[in-house]
Amino acid sequence: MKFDSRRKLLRLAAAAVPAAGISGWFHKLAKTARAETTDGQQRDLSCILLWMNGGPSQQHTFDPKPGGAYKAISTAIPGIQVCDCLPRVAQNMQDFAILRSMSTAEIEHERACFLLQTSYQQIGGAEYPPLGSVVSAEVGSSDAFLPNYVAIDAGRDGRYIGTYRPGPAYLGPRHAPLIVDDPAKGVENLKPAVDPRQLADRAKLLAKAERAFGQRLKSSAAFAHRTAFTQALRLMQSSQVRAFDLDSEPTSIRDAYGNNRFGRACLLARRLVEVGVSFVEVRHEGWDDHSGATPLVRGRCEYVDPAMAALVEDLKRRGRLENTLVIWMGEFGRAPGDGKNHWPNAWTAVLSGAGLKTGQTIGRTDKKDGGEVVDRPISEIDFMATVCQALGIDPAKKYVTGGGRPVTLVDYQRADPNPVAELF
Amino acid sequence: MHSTARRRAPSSNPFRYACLLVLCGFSWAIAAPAGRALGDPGRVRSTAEQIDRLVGQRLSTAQLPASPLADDCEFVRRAFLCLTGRIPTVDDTRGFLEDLAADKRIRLIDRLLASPHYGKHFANGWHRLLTGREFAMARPPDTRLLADWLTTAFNENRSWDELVKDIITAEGTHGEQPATIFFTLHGNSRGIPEPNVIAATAGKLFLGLDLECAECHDHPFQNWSQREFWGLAAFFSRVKDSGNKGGAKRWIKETPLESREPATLAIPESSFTNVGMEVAARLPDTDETDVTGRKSLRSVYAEWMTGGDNRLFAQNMANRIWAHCFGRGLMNPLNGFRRGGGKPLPDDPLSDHPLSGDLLLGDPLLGDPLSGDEASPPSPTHPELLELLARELAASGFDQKHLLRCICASETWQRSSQPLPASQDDSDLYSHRTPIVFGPEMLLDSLTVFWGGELLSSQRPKMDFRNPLLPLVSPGEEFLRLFRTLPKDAKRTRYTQGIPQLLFLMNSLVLNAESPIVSGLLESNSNAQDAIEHLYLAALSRRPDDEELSDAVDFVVGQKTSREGLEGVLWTLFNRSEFIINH
Repeated sequence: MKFDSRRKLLRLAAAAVPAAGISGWFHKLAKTARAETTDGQQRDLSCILLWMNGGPSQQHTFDPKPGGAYKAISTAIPGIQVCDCLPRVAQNMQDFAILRSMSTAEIEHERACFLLQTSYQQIGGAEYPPLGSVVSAEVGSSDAFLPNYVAIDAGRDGRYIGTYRPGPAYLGPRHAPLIVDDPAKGVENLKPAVDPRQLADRAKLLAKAERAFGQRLKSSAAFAHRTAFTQALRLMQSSQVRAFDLDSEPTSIRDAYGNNRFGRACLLARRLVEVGVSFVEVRHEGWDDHSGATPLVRGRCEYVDPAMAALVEDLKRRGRLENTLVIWMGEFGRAPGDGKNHWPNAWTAVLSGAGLKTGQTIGRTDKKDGGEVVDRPISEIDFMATVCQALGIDPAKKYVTGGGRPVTLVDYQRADPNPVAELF
Repeated sequence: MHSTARRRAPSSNPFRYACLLVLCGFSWAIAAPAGRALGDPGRVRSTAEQIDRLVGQRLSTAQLPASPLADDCEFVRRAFLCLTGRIPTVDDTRGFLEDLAADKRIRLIDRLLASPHYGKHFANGWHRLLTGREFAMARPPDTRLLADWLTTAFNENRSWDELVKDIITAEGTHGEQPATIFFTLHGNSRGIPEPNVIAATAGKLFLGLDLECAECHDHPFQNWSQREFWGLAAFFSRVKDSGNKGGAKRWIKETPLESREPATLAIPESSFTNVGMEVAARLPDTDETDVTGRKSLRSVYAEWMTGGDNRLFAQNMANRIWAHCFGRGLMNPLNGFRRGGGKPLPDDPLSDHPLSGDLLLGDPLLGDPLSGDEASPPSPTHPELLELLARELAASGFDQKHLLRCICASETWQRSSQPLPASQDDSDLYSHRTPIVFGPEMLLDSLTVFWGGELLSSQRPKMDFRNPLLPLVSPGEEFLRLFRTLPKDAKRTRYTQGIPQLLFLMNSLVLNAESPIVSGLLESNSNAQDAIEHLYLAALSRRPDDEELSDAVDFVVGQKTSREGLEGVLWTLFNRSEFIINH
């Protein structure tokens, strides 16, 4: 039957992938980006994403404009200026690269989140994994005790637009995030309520029944449940959960990050990458400043600035910055003036670590109000390819989705990626 | 004041109005035969048969064999979960299995539709859709009033159009008319109603439209101009909220039409085009809307939304009821309906439908396949079926229980979740049942049924004056919050909970305490086999198979006490994937 043979082909294809599919440019650049130390050892790379949900205003943060509401201040790198609400980041400018020419095509929150986190457009219900799941699958260790993708809720300060996060799609439920609702509490209910022998007996009885059920009923929901259950059991047995205990950190370090939810989330992120978590998302909600960014961004930066600076300083001091890519971004920027509107045409993302060439700005917006990119536009595809390269991920790697469609990790269908070569 | 300019009332141009917001150009709801007895068994049977015929046609075109009907165990559990939001008790299951009458399935459906849990279950779903914005408010209202109001309305089976009109035109205090809470919640952080947010939400929930883009600019895909959107929003421009008056005394009022206040809205600065433009309350595809002599702006809007010419109203609700029964809509996403862009149905909808044939094969273990042609906007998987259900709903006077009875009586709904080998990869042609994951309320209510007594209190703690800022949520509400991981309107066939939720089920003290069900078994001195069978019936609505039984007996024997043994079996049952899905 035609139908059967097609399925067979797809199964063969699925078995054959993921196959390495390295495009030409990747080969050329791979050498510099390869995650290897001098002695040829694989580096354990990780990524911390500081996600400013709602769309942070670039002209109130990293792209000051003459006559703007916030003054520009000098930084540790002569010639680079940022807004005066970021004094601590400014002192560490040698470790940051400012991408001022982000230029993307989606203006609505959910669609833009999808676009920036997956590089694909959200059309027709097609599902693609977000960066966190990609890093979890491609960089993370497959036998880690902690999930490779942890998402921390770093609180809200401003307009609530809701948490939107694409699912792990074809990468499978193992690459869904462990969501930490409150960084101070970490993961609750980790201690078994019965003695370990009893728990082991119960788990054995359960596992046998689950195997039988899994054979009887093919259900993606049941599969996802079993996957998460196994992960939860592993987590309970792991000594690495001590990473969640922020109190074991010296007071001076906790103070440097800030005794607030965002600071604690950044500190937890550092502790998690140190025990091998490959992707940590620190999600801060409230940057959708429709009433104007001027009165609000400064207040937020009072804790975002020291935490972000402390994170990078701390990673550097502990020798982890080389192996950790830190990203600060939202789903778009905000319109010239007071930032009341969403603005995908010209906005800023900031990178640090992972051996990138930092202490520079890349791309420019116009002098007048910064509404347009005048030099080196960076699309979502360019951006994702850049992040992949920094983390040693092949962005052209091919997968086959549940629907039998071949896809690449980064959307190569719409445009050829042009990663930011200045960073490498 | 009322406009005195020449206006074109919708009725003055019936043809044009019929084209308005409709997918094809004829009006049908009005033509429904009047006076049909609701719940007529013959009518239910014939509608169920039509559902099966339309689903069957697509299956045979795709050469997919359909699974046989679910057995009685699967059926009784599914019916309880779908219609009352909880698993059956052991007595319910035993009673159903022992009943030998041929019509026992439809009798069970009718019994469950008459259960008070029915209203609560549907109220849970709509409560979530109508609220869920409490996060945005400094001092949110107590939405339990709204939940109770919805429960009563669904249990009384009030017709859907009347219920929606009540919500849209709600006035009075939160205590007197809890539907007003919808307006308070769709406001800014202080609860001042925002007409654009209300219009976008109402469009989404009651018409299945995605209007949010049109707030800021013309919507390219859906033929919505920005001015049309704000014209709709302006119907809510006179809604006032009293501000916080202390609990249930907060009120919503609409300034009457006689007042001098203009029925217009200015497009705000946060938009991209036409900023500052004053837009009058105007129904789509009319040059102007005559509101002379009408009760209120909102009543004009409510008449338009629920009126017989607005086919999207019935289609949306039919689609949502279908999604309730199957975990996914015939139209996905649920707010994927369009005006104008929708083509009239072709004569043979099977011939050129993009989803016919074997295009939709997906490995169920690797997530959902693409649910539509990637390049085109969403379209229903079974357009004729959607049409049939919408007609039936409208013809019955928007009788939700009637439509549920028709769907649950169909073979399509009663099929086994076990796919036949050739249909394994089918995910939306309904060759077999796709399991639905328990929502938070279903999980809590089912755990409670299984547990045999109250598990988590719904009693909110008293205000602690030393810590006045502590949120006053009950343990039950905390549980619901923890397990609420699926976005509104998402497909319920996806499992989106994860490690924190499973750790709660595995290790929380409350689920590791001595359970009333095990206490009962110990008191009754049942032997291990009988006790295990009882636990299986309680949790999974089925008896254990031989292997399960002997494994469980071995386990119980290996524990120190019978109590530990049976609590252990109970633990393995509610931590199974089989427990948390309605299959």
